[in-house]
Amino acid sequence: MGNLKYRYIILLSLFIGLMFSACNKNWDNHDAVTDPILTVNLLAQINKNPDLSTFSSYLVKTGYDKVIASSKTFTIWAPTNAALAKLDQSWVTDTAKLKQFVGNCISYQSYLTTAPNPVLTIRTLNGKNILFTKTKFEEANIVTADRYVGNGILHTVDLAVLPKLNGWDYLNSTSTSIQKTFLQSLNYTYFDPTRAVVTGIDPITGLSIYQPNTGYFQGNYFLNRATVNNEDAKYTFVILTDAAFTAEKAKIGKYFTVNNPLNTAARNTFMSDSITNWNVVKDLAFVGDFSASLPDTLISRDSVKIHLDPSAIVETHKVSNGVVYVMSRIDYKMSSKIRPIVIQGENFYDYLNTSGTRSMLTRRNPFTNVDFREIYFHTMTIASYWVRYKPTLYNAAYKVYWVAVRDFSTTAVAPAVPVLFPQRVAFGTSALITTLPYTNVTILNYNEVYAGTYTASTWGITDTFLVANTTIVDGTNSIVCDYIKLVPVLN
Amino acid sequence: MHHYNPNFMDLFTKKVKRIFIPALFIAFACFSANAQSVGVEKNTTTGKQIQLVKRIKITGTITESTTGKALSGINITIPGYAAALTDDKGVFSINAPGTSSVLIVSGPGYQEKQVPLKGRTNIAVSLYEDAFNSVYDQALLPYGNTSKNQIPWAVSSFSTTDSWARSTETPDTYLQGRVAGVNVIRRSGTPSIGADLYLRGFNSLYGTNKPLYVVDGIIYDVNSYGSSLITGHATNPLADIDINDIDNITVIKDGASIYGTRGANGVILITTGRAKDVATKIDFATYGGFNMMPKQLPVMQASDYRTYLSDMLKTANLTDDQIQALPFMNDNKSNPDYFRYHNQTNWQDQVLTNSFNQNYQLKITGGDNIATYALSLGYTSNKGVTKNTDLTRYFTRFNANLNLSKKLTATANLSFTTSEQNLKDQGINLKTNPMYLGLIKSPFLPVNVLGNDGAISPNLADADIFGISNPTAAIQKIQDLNKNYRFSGSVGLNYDIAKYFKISTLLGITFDKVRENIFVPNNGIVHDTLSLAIATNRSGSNVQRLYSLYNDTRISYNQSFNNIHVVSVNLGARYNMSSSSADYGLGYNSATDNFVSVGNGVNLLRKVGGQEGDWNWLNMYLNTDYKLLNRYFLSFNLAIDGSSRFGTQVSEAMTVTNDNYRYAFLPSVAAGWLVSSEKFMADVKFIDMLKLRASFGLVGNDDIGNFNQDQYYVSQNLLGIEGLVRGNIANPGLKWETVRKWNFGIDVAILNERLNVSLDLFNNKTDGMLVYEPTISASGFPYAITNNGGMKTSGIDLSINGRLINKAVKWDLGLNLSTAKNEITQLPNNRLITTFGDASFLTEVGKAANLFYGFKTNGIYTSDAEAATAGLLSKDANGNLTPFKGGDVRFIDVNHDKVIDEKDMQVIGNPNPKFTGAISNVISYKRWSFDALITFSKGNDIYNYTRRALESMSGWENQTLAVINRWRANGQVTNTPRAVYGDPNGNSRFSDRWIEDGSYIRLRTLSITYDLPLKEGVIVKYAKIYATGNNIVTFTKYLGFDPEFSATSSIFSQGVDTGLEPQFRTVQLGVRIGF
Repeated sequence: MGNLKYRYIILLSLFIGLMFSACNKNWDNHDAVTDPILTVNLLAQINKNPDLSTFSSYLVKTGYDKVIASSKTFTIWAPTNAALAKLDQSWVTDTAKLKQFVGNCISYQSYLTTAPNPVLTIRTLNGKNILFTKTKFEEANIVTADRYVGNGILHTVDLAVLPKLNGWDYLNSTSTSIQKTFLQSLNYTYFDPTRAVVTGIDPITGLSIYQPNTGYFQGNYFLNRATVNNEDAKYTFVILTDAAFTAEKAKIGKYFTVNNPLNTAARNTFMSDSITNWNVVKDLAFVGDFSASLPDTLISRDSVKIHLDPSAIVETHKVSNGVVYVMSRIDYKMSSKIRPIVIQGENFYDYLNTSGTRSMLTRRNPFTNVDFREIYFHTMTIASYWVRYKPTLYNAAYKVYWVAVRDFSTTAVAPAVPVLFPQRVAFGTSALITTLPYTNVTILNYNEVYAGTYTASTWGITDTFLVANTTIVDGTNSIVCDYIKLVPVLN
Repeated sequence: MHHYNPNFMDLFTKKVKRIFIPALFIAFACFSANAQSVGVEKNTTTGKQIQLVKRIKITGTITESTTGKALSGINITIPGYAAALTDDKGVFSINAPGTSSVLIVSGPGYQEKQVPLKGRTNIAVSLYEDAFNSVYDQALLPYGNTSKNQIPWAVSSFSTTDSWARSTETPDTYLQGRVAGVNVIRRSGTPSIGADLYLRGFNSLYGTNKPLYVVDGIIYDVNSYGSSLITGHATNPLADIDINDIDNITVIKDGASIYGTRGANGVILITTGRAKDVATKIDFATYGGFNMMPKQLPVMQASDYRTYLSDMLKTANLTDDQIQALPFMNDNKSNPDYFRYHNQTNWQDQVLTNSFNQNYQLKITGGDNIATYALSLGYTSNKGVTKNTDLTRYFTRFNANLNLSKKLTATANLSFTTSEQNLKDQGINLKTNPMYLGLIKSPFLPVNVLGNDGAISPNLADADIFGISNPTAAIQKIQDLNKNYRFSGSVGLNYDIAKYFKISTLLGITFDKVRENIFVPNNGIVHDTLSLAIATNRSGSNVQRLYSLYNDTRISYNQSFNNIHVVSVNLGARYNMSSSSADYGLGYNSATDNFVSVGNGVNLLRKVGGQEGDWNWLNMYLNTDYKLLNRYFLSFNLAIDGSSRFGTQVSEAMTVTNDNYRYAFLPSVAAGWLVSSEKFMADVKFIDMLKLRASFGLVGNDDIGNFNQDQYYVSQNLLGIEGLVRGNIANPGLKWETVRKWNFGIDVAILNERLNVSLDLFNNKTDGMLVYEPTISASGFPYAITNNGGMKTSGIDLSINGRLINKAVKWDLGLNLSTAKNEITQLPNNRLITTFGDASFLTEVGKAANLFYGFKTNGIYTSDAEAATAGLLSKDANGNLTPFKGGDVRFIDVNHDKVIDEKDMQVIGNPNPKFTGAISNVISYKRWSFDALITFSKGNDIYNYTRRALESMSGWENQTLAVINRWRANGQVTNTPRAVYGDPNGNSRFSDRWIEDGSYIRLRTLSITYDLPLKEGVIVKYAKIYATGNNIVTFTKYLGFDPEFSATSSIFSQGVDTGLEPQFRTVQLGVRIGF
């Protein structure tokens, strides 16, 4: 009986034990990792591969080992040991450079070779962009692709892809040249209150008090215009040899000569030089990387059409954000660079006084079907009424045209014919002495009307007037102007 | 069951049209006269027999079955004829009128047993102890008690002897596994939340499928009036009955039309305890228990979660830089956001907890020969496993029996229960359900507000940048309070008019009130969007009232003719008047989170509303039971029901004169044959009892809405002008649903009742089933409510009870098993699709009523090339087509049009179990007793809504560990699709990915009792120590917290796991002392 009892107890406890052990295995089956690789992180996966041992040691040296073992997702293009054996030792011994190099092999997020179509630009951890295609990582070939692990993707590549400088950094890395010196001279410092450290609020003014020497940043006027330092941009950037630069200056310098009588001669010379330099460099950066196939014509931001002759390319440098050409010459038509100046009638600076009625007309040119706006000043009680403009003129001779469409008072009471009124363009002063002759504004004339020639004696802002008739009779001293066009006479 | 005339009902109704109540009385009078005359006839024909075998002397011995010991002092009676006692050798001798008589053997502490002589003059009887579950036990039926072996209906009855050990149960959950044919699905693990009961499957789509509860003769209203403000909660009126007050539960499963149009889903009769004798008895019990936190679901920790986010965001049209700029991607400790996004929080720990429960009960019974009483008091407190939730309930009950005169007796039943329950939102409330939030909340976020240096503030963190509330705020700051009381009182009078006639009446009233208050704070919880404003904080209060008056008056006639014919007739009427109201107020945007009542909200936004319900029910009934020679049983019931809910133009119904009232005419008949009492069975000694039963009846379901037969108007606001518009299409032809029920049963007891088997086959067919019938658009209404549906349910109930060991160790093993197969037979347009919690249900003629209807899948495209070869397109809600890619789910294109859209939906699961049942074990040895109840459900499918949220991989929600297997690269073979922001290809759509097998087998209760040995003469009569474990262990393949739940009682929500509080394991220790 005693034995029997024990047997029951043992059986019972076995039964209960079985019940407890058997329950809740469901989740273990459901969430069991079907592919053990998914529990492995990138670092472990790299360490497993003997062919990546060198890269692994570099990861440890640069601290990237901790990054890629973390819970974000990464893609790594790991160079094999053979590829790294060819790496210049200077990249290995300098930890900062090594960090640059290793960072160049890692990006955030997963990128499979199925993603590029046909090419994908990807930001790596060192901030550089790399090009990724189905078979290539920059210039390296992908040896094994798309090895997924728990926190990302591992590719192996057959070449150590060095991080590239961007266009601006490349320029700064070159030896002294005129272009480099000039572009660096365009640096300036600015204050950004949003990034300055606030230490308190002035109780009187209520303004923020900033910690000294915070919030100051350096800008560059050239970079404001062409962001060749932006990793995410793509630029074809031309660096002229000193000879070429000097030749360019010689070519366009006369149009940018400053002869301001209020300045000293030295200042005029300095300004002339500086403005000429700017006008040389402003058309040397083109949006887009055209290194793959250089088109016949590149268009600068100012729409200057430049031809880069391959024979004039001295050096080609692939940079992280495009390409840099060191050139001995650039070609363009002067008419593309020194272009007519168009003064829109409605963009006046000021006018004589408030007498009369000023209207802005919006009309459609029946021949081109293009809308335009023009000013129409009339019923002025003053003779020789004027409207002033302030264009910047090249130091050049100009042919002056205007478009002035008179579509009002086109017929008078028969048999009288409409009264035509004249107007004229004047430079420097509205007085008759520096002016072009009066020319009648004909009826419904949509064409450019030649108003005479003018020769500017300096580069710079020049007061330009549109002057009405000398009468004070209504309908005889009106001003009408769509635009004034100054066409430089190039020689 | 297609063979009988579908117009069966009409045959009845046409014939009896324009019968009035007096006619019933005439019929009754005729019937009783007839019955008497039949008796006389039989008497004369059998007179010969009586004379031949007159005064036969029967001798025998009575022994105890376990020990074989002779029993002295046992009563042997032949009712109305003779009686005898056994001597100290257990021998008796009695005179019987014939060898077809039945001896009734009973004695204190022993079972009552019926012994048919079957021609024998010497018999040996062995008796089991009192508690033995015997076929001769009494079933408590509406018209009196009958021993189980004499009932021709499908009835199960049992005494609730073990309820003391199961103090956390409510009457509905206590029924689980008790009765074959009753499928009890616990709603959730919330204390006292109760269960949804399906008695033999279901009979209605939109009407109730709940059985009728009758407590001490009064219909017990278990419906809720008005919806709860607390998501996922429903007040359970049955929880107001203390299960320790229950003496007996009887379940009527077939078409006994006793309760007419309220009995379609069966009837559960509950009888509460009364004094058994005049001696004063005091019972006191106290329990304390420990509730164990459920096992947590395996969701990702911070590092896996961030990797997942990184993958998912890659598809969200964000650049690498934008992703790296997100605050949680920053790994620089000097960044002020670093500490706010680098935590490791187990949010499930924040919302779930272990807790305690306790329970006290006191019961006093006693009285004298004039009056006896039973008084009971109870207190229960249960804290549940969601933090900051608890339940406190007080029970009182007073039952009395009064002998006012020799002929007049009276009964009184009074009970008052009050409870207060602190709850939390559950189910589909994605902003405030703490359980759900605990799963999906990002693990790297902190519980409290953190400073830039990581310093912890006592304030709770607000809703996060992902638009997910703080689960801890949901636990600590949301208020969800439910208060409830119910008073039920009844007085009954019984008067013996004449020897065989009795008149009785029972009058009862019920008051029930539910009051709820909620408050959702601004801080920590995602704001709600209203039509006019953003709701920062929200408050609400709600009052639901029920008043009900009930009367049951009847004349009874009972006569036995020489023990050969026994006739009983009951003629009466029941009247039930109910009135309910629900009022709610919702307030928004109070000035601070400290102003939590509705009145503090912004006036413009406040909403008030409510509903009223009034209805009356009249049930006229006739019941006739006829018993011949104690072995042939015939029973006839007729109900004629009127209700304020019925339309005035119901066709083919009974009318009374020319007025507008329509009555349901519901007859039923049952016959039983106790084969084992026949003489030819005398030699088949191993069979103690063999009974064949058959019944057919019509029963009705009056749950058709209080006012749907009438035209009503609802208020409508148009551009600021308030007006009334028609609210429905009136249907004056609207009537009750009629259910025709067939039942064939066999009850067998063999080997001296060592093995009892009961098997029932049933077929229920619903006609005139309520449907929402689509209407033409020109009507301005989407549907009209009509009686144009039909369904049928058929199945088997089997129960087997055996005493496996009957020695010093007694082992009773019971098994019950039931099936119910449903099929829709009639439906407008033959087809209906309903949705619940993103799940679609198909209801179609020829199929079960509520099948999961969605997409089938076949794995994952392993590569882009494979997906391109398949060439399938996904169609979104706007009709846009997108091609599938590698890592997307391979949906089955049913119609081969290369587009995956709603035309490709098919049946993907069935929430109804193939069978359910239970195994019960009672083992007793000396003073020890051991009780184990195992319940099971097989073949039911579950839509795992929660897992869908946890494995959709399309948003910011934390996911389960299974998503680590997500598809990442071409060629990867996995069962988990890729992570895609917003899920444009619908990988997470309602498909068989989320359908799981919900079969389970559970050790529901395990209790061990030890009866302390006490010295004679001490004041304490007994003392028992209990140890009880609930929900000990569950075997299931289901991946959710628990495979057993019920979001609503509608059949169109079955099997949808919306994330309710799971059932949890409880262990309790208690002591019960009797004085």
